Amino acid sequence: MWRAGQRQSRTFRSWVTRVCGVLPLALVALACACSLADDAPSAANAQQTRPALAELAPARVVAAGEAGSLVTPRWRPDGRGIVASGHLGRGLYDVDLREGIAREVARDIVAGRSLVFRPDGRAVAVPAADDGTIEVALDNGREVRFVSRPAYVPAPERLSDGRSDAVVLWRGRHERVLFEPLRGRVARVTASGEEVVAEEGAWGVAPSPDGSRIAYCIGHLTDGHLFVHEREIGTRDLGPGVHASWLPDGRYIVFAVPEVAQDRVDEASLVGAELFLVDVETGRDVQLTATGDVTEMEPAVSPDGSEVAYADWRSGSLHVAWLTVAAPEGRLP
Amino acid sequence: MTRQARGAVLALAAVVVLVAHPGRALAVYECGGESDTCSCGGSNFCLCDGTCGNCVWHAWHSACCGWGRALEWCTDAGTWDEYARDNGYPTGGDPRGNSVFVCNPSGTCSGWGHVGWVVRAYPDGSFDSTEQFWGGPCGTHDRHRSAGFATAGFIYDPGGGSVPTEIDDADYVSETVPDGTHFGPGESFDKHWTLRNSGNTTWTRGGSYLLTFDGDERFGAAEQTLLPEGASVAPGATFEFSVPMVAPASPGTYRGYWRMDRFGTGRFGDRIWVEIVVDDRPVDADGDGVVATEDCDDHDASVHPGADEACNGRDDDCDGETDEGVLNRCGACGPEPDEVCDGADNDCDGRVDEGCPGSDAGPDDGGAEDAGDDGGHDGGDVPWDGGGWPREDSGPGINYDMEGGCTCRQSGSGSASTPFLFGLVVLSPLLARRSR
Repeated sequence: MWRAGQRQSRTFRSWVTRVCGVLPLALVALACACSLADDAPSAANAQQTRPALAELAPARVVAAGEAGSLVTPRWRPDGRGIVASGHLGRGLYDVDLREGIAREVARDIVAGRSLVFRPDGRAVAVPAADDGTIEVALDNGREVRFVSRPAYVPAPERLSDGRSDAVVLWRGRHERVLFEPLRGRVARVTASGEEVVAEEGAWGVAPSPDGSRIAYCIGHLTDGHLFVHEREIGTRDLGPGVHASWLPDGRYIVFAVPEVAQDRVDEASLVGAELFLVDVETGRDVQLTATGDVTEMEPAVSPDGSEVAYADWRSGSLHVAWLTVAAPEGRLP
Repeated sequence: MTRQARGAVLALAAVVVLVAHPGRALAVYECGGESDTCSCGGSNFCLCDGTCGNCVWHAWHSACCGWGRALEWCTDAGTWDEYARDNGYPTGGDPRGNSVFVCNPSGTCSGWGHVGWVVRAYPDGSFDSTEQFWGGPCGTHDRHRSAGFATAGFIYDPGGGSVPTEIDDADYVSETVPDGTHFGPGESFDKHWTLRNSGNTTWTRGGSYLLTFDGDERFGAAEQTLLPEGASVAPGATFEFSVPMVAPASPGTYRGYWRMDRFGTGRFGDRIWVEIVVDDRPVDADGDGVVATEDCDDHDASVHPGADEACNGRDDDCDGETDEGVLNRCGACGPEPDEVCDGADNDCDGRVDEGCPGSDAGPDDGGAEDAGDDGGHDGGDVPWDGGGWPREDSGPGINYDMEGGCTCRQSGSGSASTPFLFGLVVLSPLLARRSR
């Protein structure tokens, strides 16, 4: 069963992680007292006998931005830097990883998750409020407005029964992955027709690099479940999780699991989060971080798969950590 | 025609449609599985797609329930931001819980635009929402929207008629002294809270922003903790407050609440707390043999009841008085200064320029403050030729060390050297006689 019981164990895991009380730690540490995180005894025992699937080295912190916080890290295509947004998603910041400096590029741009890098990596395109597109140069912040979009941004399409635009998230030779934000519908479109991946309510849609798998979330952020749809196989519920980011091999996903508390009547609030990695072929997953004082969200795997950047929604800082997966070639021990 | 008039016409049209055309588009009591049950001074006059749903019906309904206010309009979704502004509602570009989001007519949100109810917002600008859709999917749905989805911004709670343009809000970030920390009775500690300014105003001391006690156990803390002079906490920035506290004297578990306050306007933001366990054990943190409940400073072993009072500006013996009995005639630590010929009573003996040529006070009678032959004083206007306090000449066996501050101990108002020298004068003939 895919991470069965995680929801029930979240409070216990939170307790365990606080007791263990350490900074982002290696998943190997699950073999110690922290291994209690998996509440199925047999699974826990089995996990102790196997080497860790992956581990995340202690993170280095990139300074928060001028806006007070940095969120939504996105790696430059060459992996040499990060473009992040500011408080409440407003503004664009160019993060120099060597210097640990976040330089404001644009103040009022709200890029959300629709940012597209220009192929040379020196500019980004974000949607404008009027269906147009704004291209922002990363070196000097110069903005160019397009009535429609620059050539490197795929034109939106309409699903067969669509009443609003769908964005092209992935394009292959004979296949496209489309996402219609209004309904939250995800579909795979081929020459033979349209295959609905998610009927409605999907968000955080992330096709794997080869397009064969599509990760997405359903629900509110506080109770969202992560799903993976695989071509010709179907859809699997990976349990609680949001913000999926694929490793380059298309087999592993790094994602965040929010920790929620009912702090007011009938209202949930986010009180923490941890990062996990899952092997979508086996369903085996590992906890990458275990912290009580960092709310790890929005993981972004670097283009070469060696690092993970993520935002701490509590302090507003960006973190970057080395990621080691036990089977980078795709075979588990 | 004004916007309000158009709204009224639309409302009337909705009623007409309701009465004359009981077909698909109706202003109805139920829509998308929800019922118009909230009390806000009006009924939902938005249309519904049969009973399937309509984004404006749900947004109107949510505002009625969440704000207790009947919106004056129910137009196409893409115009809601304009009607909100025309009707005096606060609007803005940042997501907040209990607000209405508006998406412009566009390829993404169709030619009519789209509205929904924001349940909660997140630091990345995304937000959880509840929404209905004309034409389906039917019902009321949970959604999570990315930053930038609400291209026309947000309509905020008008607050019962007033239209706040400034939004004060604070989010808890972190703390020291976690819940359940154990202390001894009367033990002192500092609680630190880091808060994020999640509103759109800047916190400053001059702006009357402060952290205030908000109920239950106060732990001997100040009612208010002010921001430092010059501190400025911009929207999105964080600030760490430090509040000195003292554990209660009786064992038990105690909790007290604090909250941000804009003095004169109101309290706002997350309600934060400190919760500690007071153990049934005496605490003597500084190991001076006096427990914290009886020690006026349990972090300094030199301070406790029974300690000698030193001339140091502190209440060393915890009797409520500072430097009592150890000050000199001039009310300061150390011996009195020398009298110099400057027209002032330098040594605080009630006489001016005693011992100076031409002085009415005449020569002193041999006290320690006698100018005498100090080798350094020349009777001029400048009593000292170097920095610091003048070094007093010492009589035999007397060692005044003024450089280290107040190392001298004395009682009463007289100089310690006075009785010594007086005794020496009296006894000297006897001593001289014995030595013979």
